Amino acid sequence: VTALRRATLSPLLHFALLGGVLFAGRSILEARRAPASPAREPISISAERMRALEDSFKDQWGTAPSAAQRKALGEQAAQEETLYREARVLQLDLEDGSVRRRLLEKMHAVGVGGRNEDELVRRAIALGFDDDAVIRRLLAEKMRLVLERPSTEPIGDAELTAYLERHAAEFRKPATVSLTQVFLAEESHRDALAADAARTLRALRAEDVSAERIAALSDPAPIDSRLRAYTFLQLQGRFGKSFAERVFTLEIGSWSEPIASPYGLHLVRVDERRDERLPDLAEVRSALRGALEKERARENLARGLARLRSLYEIRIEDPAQAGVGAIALQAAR
Amino acid sequence: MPGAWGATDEQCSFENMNFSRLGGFWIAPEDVNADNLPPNAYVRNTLKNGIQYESEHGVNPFKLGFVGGLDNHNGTPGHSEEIDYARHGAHGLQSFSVSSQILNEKYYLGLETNGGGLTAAWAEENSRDAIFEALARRETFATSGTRPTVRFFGGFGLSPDMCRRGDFAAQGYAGGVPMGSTLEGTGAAPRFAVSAWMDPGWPNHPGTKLDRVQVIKGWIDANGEAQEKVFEVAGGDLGTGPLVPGQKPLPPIAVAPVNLKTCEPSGGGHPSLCAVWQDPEFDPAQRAFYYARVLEEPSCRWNQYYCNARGVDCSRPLGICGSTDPAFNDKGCNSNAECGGGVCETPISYTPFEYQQCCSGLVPQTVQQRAWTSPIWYSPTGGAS
Repeated sequence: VTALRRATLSPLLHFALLGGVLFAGRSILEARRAPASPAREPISISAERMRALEDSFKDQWGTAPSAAQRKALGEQAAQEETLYREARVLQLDLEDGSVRRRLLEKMHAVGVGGRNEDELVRRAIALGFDDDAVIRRLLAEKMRLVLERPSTEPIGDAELTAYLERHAAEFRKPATVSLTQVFLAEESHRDALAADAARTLRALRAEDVSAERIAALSDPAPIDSRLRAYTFLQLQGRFGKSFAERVFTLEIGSWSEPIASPYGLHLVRVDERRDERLPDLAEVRSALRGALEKERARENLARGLARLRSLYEIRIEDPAQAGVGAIALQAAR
Repeated sequence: MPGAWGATDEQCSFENMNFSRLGGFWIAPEDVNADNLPPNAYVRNTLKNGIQYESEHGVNPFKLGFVGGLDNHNGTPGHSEEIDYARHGAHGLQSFSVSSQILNEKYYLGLETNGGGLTAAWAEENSRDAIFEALARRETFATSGTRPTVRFFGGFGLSPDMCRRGDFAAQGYAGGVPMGSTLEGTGAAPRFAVSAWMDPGWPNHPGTKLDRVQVIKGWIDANGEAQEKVFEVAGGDLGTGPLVPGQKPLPPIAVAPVNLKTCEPSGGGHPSLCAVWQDPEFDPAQRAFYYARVLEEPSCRWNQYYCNARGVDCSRPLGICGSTDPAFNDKGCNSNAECGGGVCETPISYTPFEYQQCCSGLVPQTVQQRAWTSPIWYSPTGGAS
């Protein structure tokens, strides 16, 4: 009993009990309070600002913005402001080398320099130099990168295949032909070109020609007499449209009638034709991975922007009413 | 540049920008000299410096391959066509290059600019790796903006009959080196072979045929001085057909000038050219470089497309007199003074400034588009670095 009495009188026990009560009380209070949230002032795009945006649109594109374009200009400006303000909330400007450099530049521009750089940056901020078009753009861009945040979800063959199927049109490989040709230069044959081509064609069809024989029958050309995997557009770019159209209708393995190009006549044997096709995963794996990562980043960004927008009340004034109660654009601090 | 520092190759004075340096002031053509347009504004002189350094110090720091490019800010790589430049200028809608100021010779986006050039690389396949490898070994040619094709080889084992067969490139690699490479001297004279195709054009826009192929040689003479010379090797006044040593060429085709009103090619010129050539002045002891230049027949420069689109006809006067005096009314005129108290009215399709610039002759109405191959260098035996 004495041991118990002594224990209940112990200051250590009192200390522990009091401490426990205080801790429990604080926990209860904290749980009741809403999570800390910075105050977010409404975003207002003034009529003057809208008019400036419309003027700059006109300078750039040579025409005034349409109603839809005007609306987009206002929304874009509000979005930039949202991104900038959220970047400030997250203190993305803290220790940012580019922001620092900009502030130092501005201090030098107003003739203050040569002191401790940290001190200069502090003074620049005190002077409000950090509310700056360049810093705004920097921070808005940084915020975009934060919202895009590279996905940590794994990308496996299943995801890549699904992406390829969703974007088949972009990855489809065009049809190609591989061919061998005997070229007769208009330059060398002149008026005898057609007759010479007919004679050469008879020779080609009469025998099983070797590469050596093809070279001997052909006139010189800067490109090889064998063309591998040419698409329609590549053939058109090289020999003209009617040439490409003819070649894509040829049967495989036999020598064609003479086909004209800007250079002369060509006797063509199509050796292989591949139809338009969806490539195998292995052929386009890295391109697919890049495209999928970009797509995910875009989706993240869109989701993030929508979430941020819901945090702000946004007012976009009508520039037609410029001067009437215009509100200066003010960044939340 | 003919006249400046003694060079005589008139084709070297091509599409010059008479601004002494980027952002500098415009210099009237008659005031251009070696001070305000320095010798190293021409790549040929830098190539000559390279072999001169090599002969003095054993190292050539200027073994340059040729690339062409454009400096348009429209985000349209390869968009070098004259007809399109007349429509879009270099800076699209965001500059006044699409106004008549593009005809102002004193404007840095003006009359002396053009759609820019292109680079072609002889790559084994159309892949990034293959193209970069071709660039690294300088197996390239530049063009002034059109799309002719040219291949140039040099070697001691090239057959004089290369232009009689279809395997030009295979023979070139087997018996020599491609453009961009160096030939090490053996004491013998190398041969050079060049094969070119005209720009095939695109639907409704035929390409322009070739005028000629030239080889430009630079060398270091016995006094250590750099020299240069242009040799005609195919087409032009030499006539047509494959030019092989000992063969007499066919007579040249009479060439009508391009139709300035429609800008359609005249039909003169060569769809293809091929030649095997040997330097008649070859000295095995002299360092040298050789590159091929392929000239097209004249075609409309972009300013001609612009002026045609506005209905400017330089063979007629600026406007027509509007006058109460019937002796002057409807008379062609270049100023009010010619209208007897009336007004010289310019057609609505162009302004007096446009007429003046279109017809000033400050820049030519036509241009001979061209391609330049990377050089092939020759180093005497044992002198190579």
